[in-house]
Amino acid sequence: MNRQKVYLVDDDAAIRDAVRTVLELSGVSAEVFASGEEFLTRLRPDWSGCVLLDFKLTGMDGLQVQREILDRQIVLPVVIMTAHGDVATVKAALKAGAFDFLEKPVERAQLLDVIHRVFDLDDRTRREVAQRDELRKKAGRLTPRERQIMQHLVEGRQHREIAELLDISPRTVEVYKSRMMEKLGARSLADVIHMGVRLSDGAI
Amino acid sequence: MPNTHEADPRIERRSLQVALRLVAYFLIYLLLDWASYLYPVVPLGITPWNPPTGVSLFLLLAAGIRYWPALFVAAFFADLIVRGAPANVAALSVAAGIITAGYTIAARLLKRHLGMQAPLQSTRDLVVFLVVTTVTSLVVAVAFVGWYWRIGMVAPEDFIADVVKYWVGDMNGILVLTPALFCLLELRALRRALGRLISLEVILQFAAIVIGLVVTFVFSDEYPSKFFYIVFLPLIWVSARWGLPGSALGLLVIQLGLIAGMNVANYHSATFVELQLLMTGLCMTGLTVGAMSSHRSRLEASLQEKQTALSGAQQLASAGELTSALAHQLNQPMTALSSYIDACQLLFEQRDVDVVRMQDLLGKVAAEARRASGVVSRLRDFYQRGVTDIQKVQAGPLLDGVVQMLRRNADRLGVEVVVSQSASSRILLVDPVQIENALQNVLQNAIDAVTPNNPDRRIVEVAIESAEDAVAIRVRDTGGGVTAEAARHLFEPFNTSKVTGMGMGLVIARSLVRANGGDLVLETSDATGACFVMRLPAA
Repeated sequence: MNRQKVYLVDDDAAIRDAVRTVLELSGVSAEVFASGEEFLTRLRPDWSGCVLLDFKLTGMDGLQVQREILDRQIVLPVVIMTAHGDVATVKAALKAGAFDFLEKPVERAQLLDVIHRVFDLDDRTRREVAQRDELRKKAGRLTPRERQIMQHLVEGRQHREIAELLDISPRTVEVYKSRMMEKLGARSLADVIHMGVRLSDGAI
Repeated sequence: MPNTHEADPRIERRSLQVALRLVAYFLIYLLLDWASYLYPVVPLGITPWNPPTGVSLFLLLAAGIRYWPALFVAAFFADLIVRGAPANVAALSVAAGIITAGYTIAARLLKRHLGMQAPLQSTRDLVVFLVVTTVTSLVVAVAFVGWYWRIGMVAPEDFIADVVKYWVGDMNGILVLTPALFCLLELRALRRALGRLISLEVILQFAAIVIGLVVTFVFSDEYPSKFFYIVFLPLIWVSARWGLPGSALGLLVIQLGLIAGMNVANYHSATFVELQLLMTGLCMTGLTVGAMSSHRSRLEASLQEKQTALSGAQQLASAGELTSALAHQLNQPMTALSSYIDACQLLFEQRDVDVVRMQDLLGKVAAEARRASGVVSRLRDFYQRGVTDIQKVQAGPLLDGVVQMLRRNADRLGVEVVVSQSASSRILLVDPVQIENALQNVLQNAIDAVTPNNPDRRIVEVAIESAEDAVAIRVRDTGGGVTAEAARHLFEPFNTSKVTGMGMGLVIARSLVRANGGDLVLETSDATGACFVMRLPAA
């Protein structure tokens, strides 16, 4: 995974330089872009961290950049910077999925607070996504029978019920179950149910 | 009740005013009646020009209908004094009653239908005035002559001729005097007119009228009406030029000239009646032309007023636009400034302070502070220039001045500025300081646009072109042009493709040009360059 960075998009050279200096002196690495267009040409799907986006850009404006990020299905939280946090601007930005907004001039404490919260969120989402991908990979190794057993268990059925439904012996159910748990790395029935729920938006 | 004995100064002043008006009216009436007692039809004393009627109608219209009894008194005593009592008291009373009733009704009708603010100023007012006075004076003439015919003082075969004489006399009295008196009432207009009296044009106009009259009488061979049409020309000139006051005054001069000519040449009375008939036509023509001209100039004035108000509103709107633009513009350096100071603090918190880096940061802090103060001073400059002071300036020298100002910078950048002035002698009606500023912005923009080009293609062309009531200054550059997207936001604040610009040049330029009643547009733009057109009002 890439190191978390702040991607600062602002058309004012002095602001880019100043905010980058503050971030770097606070131990946050930053990359700067003079326009939305420049940012989008260089944007890569594996970037992680936070986009710090000036709302009133020359050329493409902040909202358009936000939409483009969403359209490309890139998970990268956006924080909007506005000169005066007027309701309409902030509303439009938040509606388009912005994580938060900062008023210019940007206060250092606020800036770092927001950035760290975004980084945490970004971390968590990425970890969750990674875990789910891992789980999916494991679930992919299950046989159709093992998947059936897991489905019934997640739905809360007893071994005997499952045996009757599948027309096999309760003993065989036990065997499939332990093989399934081994493949998924589940240590208890609770684990199985938890994994089942997390997989439930996709097919098991 | 003691209050009734205390004189209310307001009432006192008003009764004094009424008394003064009445005395003035009687004096003028009698004086004019006596002076115009020429070629009378004996024994009734019907004269071919009867100016007192014009004064009577003016009194009723200007001072109020309630002055009607004065008409009766004046007519009655004029008959006694000027005409030597042609009939007995009862007969004279009836005649005076006919005159009083006729013109009081005329005044009522006119008051109801005329615009009261500036009577006779519109063509509609004039038509109403002409119709009402023509009809009422005819009715009065028929009634007056009819009365004396009834009591046997007019022979039946003279009836029609006497009615015509009376009618023409009264009509001319009204048409020559009433409009003239209304114009005298407008003191402001009078003062303006007096100011113009010394102008060469007025002297020429007066001379033309005199020449017309001289020709009328000198080359007439006993028939002055033969050449009278010549007088129409100077009168129409005067009327078209000065509006209703001009025509009223011109008619007065002509009528007095006719009287003088008649006195000198001593023509037959029929000749004078004939001349007075022509004079009626002249009055109607002159007054119509005058009213139309007045109407037009008033429309022009109100249009001008509206335009001024509109440009004021536009200025206000663009001021709002600028305020928000400049607030944003000020916030940019402030943001950078505050972050640089944050950075300095962070640097201090470190154990070994990096002095070189600190110096660099402090330099940037200072630069941003200067940038902010630059925005403020530009704002101040703009508002100091905010008031437009429209002057007449020649287009060519104005443009030359701006080009000269930018020439050195252009030379340094290797940009050639080509000026072609096909309409350089046109006179612009603009604030020269504001327009110079706007031109400077547009030209600077063009120079900046071509600077990245190869040296042989760094050309800016400026041309002055003439339109009907405007002058177009076309600034064409050979730069990369403006994209359709950029063109849409071209005149919005902070839109700049330049690294150093603040995106205000075109905004300010357009705002200034519009405040001067012109416009600034991007006419064409493609890969070979852009062309801006500044349209400016011209004389």
